[in-house]
Amino acid sequence: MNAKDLSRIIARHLTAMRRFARALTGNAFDADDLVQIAAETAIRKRRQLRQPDRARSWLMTIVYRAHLDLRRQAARREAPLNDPESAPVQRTASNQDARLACAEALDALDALPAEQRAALTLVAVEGHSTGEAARILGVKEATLRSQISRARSALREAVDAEPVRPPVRVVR
Amino acid sequence: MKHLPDTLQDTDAGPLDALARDWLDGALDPDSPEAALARQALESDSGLAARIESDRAAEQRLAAALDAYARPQESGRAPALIARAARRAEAADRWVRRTGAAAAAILVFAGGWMAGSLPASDPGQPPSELVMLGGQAADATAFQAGLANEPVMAPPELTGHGLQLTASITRAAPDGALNALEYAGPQGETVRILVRRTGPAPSETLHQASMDGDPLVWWREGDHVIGVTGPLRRDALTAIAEDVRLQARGAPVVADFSPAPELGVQVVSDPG
Repeated sequence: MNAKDLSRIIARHLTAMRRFARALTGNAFDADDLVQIAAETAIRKRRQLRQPDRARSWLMTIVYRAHLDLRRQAARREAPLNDPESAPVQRTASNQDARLACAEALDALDALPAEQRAALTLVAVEGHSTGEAARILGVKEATLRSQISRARSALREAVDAEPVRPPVRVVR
Repeated sequence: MKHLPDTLQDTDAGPLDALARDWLDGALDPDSPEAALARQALESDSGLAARIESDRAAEQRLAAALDAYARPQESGRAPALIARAARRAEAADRWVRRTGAAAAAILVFAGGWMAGSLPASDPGQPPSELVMLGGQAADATAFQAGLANEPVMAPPELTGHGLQLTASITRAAPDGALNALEYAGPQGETVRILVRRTGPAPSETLHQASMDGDPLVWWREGDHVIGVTGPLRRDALTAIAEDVRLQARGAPVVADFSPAPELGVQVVSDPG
């Protein structure tokens, strides 16, 4: 597979990669960097993609591995990647209503341990099976299920999960 | 506490919730034991269904929040991001090749110095198995028989070195066929990878030699001896050989005979 073909595959899965990266890093700036690094790695390692129909899992694995590398580097620099002081959260919701409706859920996600964030996002947001997600994260399926369960409990406690309703508009 | 299979008992409450979710999603076979467990769980825990609904609502909000971050860039900046990634990957590859070649040269030099000889600057003789490329041709019958059964090397991808695969050639040899993969370089130069089955032998480091006036880098890999030759500087050829060796180790050295027509590669039956 050449770089152009892989670039097309990345373009197809870029939104999923960005969602996962945002969930992992806790802020938009680091997520952008992470996706850039992961795309670069994927293009360099394109020969390892033997089954194009599994490209999505392959790319998510690369995103996750790149994230772990960045965390290790950040730890060595003693500047945590998710430090809210050094990397302020940037919310880029398309409008104010969506931002308000989603902020709680995103804050709750950001408060979870990294492993739970990764597990929950892959399964609940990206729709991977628990088996696939376990392979991507390199953990046993039972461990992953347990992480998801804990993440859901924490999310449930943190979020008022009433359905999102649009704000009432006063029409004169 | 209801009875659970052993596989479910060793974790926390997650499996039951997950089963119940799967059941509510319609993902379980109604006759399966898992479906029975899920139904039992939902009946015995009146709050479970509500909890699952609550989780779903939270997760939908979460997905919307992540989408709000991820999607705006998709249409506008995605091509730029990917193009930048491709450029940086190519630059990183070049750097690896250069440092790899430099490191290989240093290792060869240091190894030679420690052993009291300098193999890199004193190319030896090519292995006899590969010399057959320029040698005498066998008769047509032997060639055809060899061609039918001889495997060829899966063509390594060498575009990172500016090389495009142009031909897969099988030449006759007295005791079998010798496979040559030909690549064209940016200046029109031809680089050849020669592969010959030799029988089991331990894998080796790279050897330097010359063939037909060009440098040759060769090594043994499993049942094969593999050589890379062409009108290039020895360090460039060594870097290519390192790449070929890495790719050959990442995948089976030989693959079933296939001319790769999608690459425009033709099999040239050239008995000499």
